Amino acid sequence: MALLEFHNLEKRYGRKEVLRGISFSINKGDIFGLVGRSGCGKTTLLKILMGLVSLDKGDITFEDLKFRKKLNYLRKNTGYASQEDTLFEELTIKENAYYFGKLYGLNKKQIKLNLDDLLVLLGLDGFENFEVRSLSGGMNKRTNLLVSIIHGPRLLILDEPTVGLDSLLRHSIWNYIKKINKNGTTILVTSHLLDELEENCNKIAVMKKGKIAESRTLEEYSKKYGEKPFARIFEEIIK
Amino acid sequence: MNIFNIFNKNIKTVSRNFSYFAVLFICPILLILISGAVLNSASLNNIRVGIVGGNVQEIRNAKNYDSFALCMEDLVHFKVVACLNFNYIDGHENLDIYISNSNKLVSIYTRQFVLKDILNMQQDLFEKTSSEINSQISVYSGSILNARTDLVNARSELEEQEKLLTDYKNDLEGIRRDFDEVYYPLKQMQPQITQIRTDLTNQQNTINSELSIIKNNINNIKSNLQTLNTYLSSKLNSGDYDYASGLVSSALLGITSIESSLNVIEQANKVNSDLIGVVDSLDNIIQQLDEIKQTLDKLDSDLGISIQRTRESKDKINAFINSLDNVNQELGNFQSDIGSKKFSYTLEDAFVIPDDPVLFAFPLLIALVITFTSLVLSNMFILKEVNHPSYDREILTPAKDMEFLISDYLVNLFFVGIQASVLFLVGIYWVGVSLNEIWMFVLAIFFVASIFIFIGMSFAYLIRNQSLSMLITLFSVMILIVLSDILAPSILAGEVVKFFIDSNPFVVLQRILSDGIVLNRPLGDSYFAFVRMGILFIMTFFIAYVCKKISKERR
Repeated sequence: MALLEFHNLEKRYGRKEVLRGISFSINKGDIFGLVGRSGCGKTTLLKILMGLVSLDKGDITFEDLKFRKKLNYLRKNTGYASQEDTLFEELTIKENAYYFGKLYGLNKKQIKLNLDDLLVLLGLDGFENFEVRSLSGGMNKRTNLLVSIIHGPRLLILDEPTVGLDSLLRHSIWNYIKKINKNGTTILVTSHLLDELEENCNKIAVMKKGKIAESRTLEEYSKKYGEKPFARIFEEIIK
Repeated sequence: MNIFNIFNKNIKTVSRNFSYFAVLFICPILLILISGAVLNSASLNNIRVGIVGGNVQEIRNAKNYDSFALCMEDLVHFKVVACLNFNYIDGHENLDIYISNSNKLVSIYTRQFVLKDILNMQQDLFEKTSSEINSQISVYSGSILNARTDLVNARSELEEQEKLLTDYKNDLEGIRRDFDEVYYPLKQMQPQITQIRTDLTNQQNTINSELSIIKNNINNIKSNLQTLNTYLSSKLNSGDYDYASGLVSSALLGITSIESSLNVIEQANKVNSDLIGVVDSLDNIIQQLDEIKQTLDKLDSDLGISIQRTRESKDKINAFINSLDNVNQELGNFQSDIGSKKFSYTLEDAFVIPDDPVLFAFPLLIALVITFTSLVLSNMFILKEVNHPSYDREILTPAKDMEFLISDYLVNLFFVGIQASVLFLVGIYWVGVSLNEIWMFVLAIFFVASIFIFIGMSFAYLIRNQSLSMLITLFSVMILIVLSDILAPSILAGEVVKFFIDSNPFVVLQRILSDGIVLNRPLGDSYFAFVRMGILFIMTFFIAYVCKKISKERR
């Protein structure tokens, strides 16, 4: 069942056409990978989804609700974690969680319940009163995830979630992402690390020059392109 | 050399960044232009002064007041910066000048203006007027003296004429006395003369009549004798005749002798006619003397009237001369009065202010700190916020932009408030500031700090580049200072520049604080300043909100 659907999105900056009829859907429970070369329009698409950039044409539906009319509903049910650490370093994990939880409209009780669960889920139990600046890189990424889902979103957008981490930490982070997904959160992830996506995503869309070139499950890609690493398939698609 | 390498890199970095380039050139030029506009607009002629009891039309911005109280009321409300009260003390013109000393610079410029322009103008005007009056008085005085001289000459002539007339009159009286001595006896004799004439005429007529009769009788006798002689000649002998003829002849001779006597008598009677003529002449003389007397009487009367009129004219001339003397005396006194008249003036401070430079500068200090802190702190705060990665996370939440804006604003206001509190504590305990209406100070600082916070936030929202944004913020602070009383007091500025200076929240705060701290005036008088600040508060709030929206769109 589709959680999020993009219908023929178009966007241009001046004369430059950035998105040219983007259409695809993300089902509930997916870990959906979105890949493409730099400048293909990924960031613009995510910005549109987050309500930071307006659409020229087309529409997005979230749980069958029109995006244009229900932006706040989408925001309430969407979490976002960028490749940067988007936390307040001077605040503790708990303070960050409470701050953003309240911005999402949660009360203290709800935040506490969510936080307790997430601290355990993300292995941060006992560190809630640590200031973010005192945490390690891996803990920082986890805290970032924690804060992104403190409000219990149905969709979590991850922008290069493991960039800059070593392979062990990357693996660890993906385990936590999978845990989050198992808890019922649909994941939309962008990354240049195609092997990670191949390993963790059940569906991947490839963007090429402002369009969705392909959007399939990994099995569908294998059927179409044969048993080969996704990185090779990707190269073939964008060639 | 790395110095050149680094220098070269820096030059390229800056010159290829259009925003930097623009700010580095446009901001100083803008600052210079604004400073130029302020300084060019500044003129002592723009100083607005109130005038009581005088009319100084040469001052463009002078406002005339009916009473000193009204002028002082406007002075207290900064509608004028000086009250010029023209009055008279002991007949001397005096000018009391009350100067607004609420601001040292304003006070200095106002004093300069008053001393340089008004007093000099007044003094010149006074001297010019005095000189003109003196000159005119001298002319009038000269004319009066000339007229007086003419009048004195006329009076002398009249006096001579009077004397002459009096002499004439005296002579006439002498003549009349002599005349009367002749006239009255003659006049008394006039009836007798008339009688004599009548008698003489009658006598003459009688004699002539008698003589005529006698002559006729004589002629008859003579004729009869001659006839007798002829007769006798014939009748008598010669002898007898001779004899008788002798007798007749003798008788004829006797008759002839009688005729001679009669002729003598007749001649004598003719003398009587002369006498009658003489008597007639006398009568005529008396009649002429009557006419002469009438003429003399009339002459005497006319002379008396002339003398009287001459005296009256002389008296009038004397009175006129006296009047002229008095007028001349008054003009002389007036002239000497003008010369001795003094134009005095006093310079007074309009407000009783303690002579403490620190207290005096305290409002400016607070206004500067509040302005600088509000602008720079809010700018830095928002720059840090919008450049922090968490900003993306924040703007993706359903929280409204307005909530972010207000909370950011409140944070800045909180810190500015702390700073203001510290400054006021310093002011109260070290400088001796008396805060009678603390809530009004708080309100003023709230408005002004809020306005600058919103402006600082707007810059940061629009320009994310930290150094660029800070540069523009600092230039804004400089522009605010340039557009204040510090560079050139607003009293000197033209209407347009004055409007901007008066609208500058930094200036407004300084004035409100100065009113309360230095002048101890009730801050309710600053009602319009508060209204203006309220409007600016709302405007800058919406500007900041729009900038926040733009900032979000740009990410």
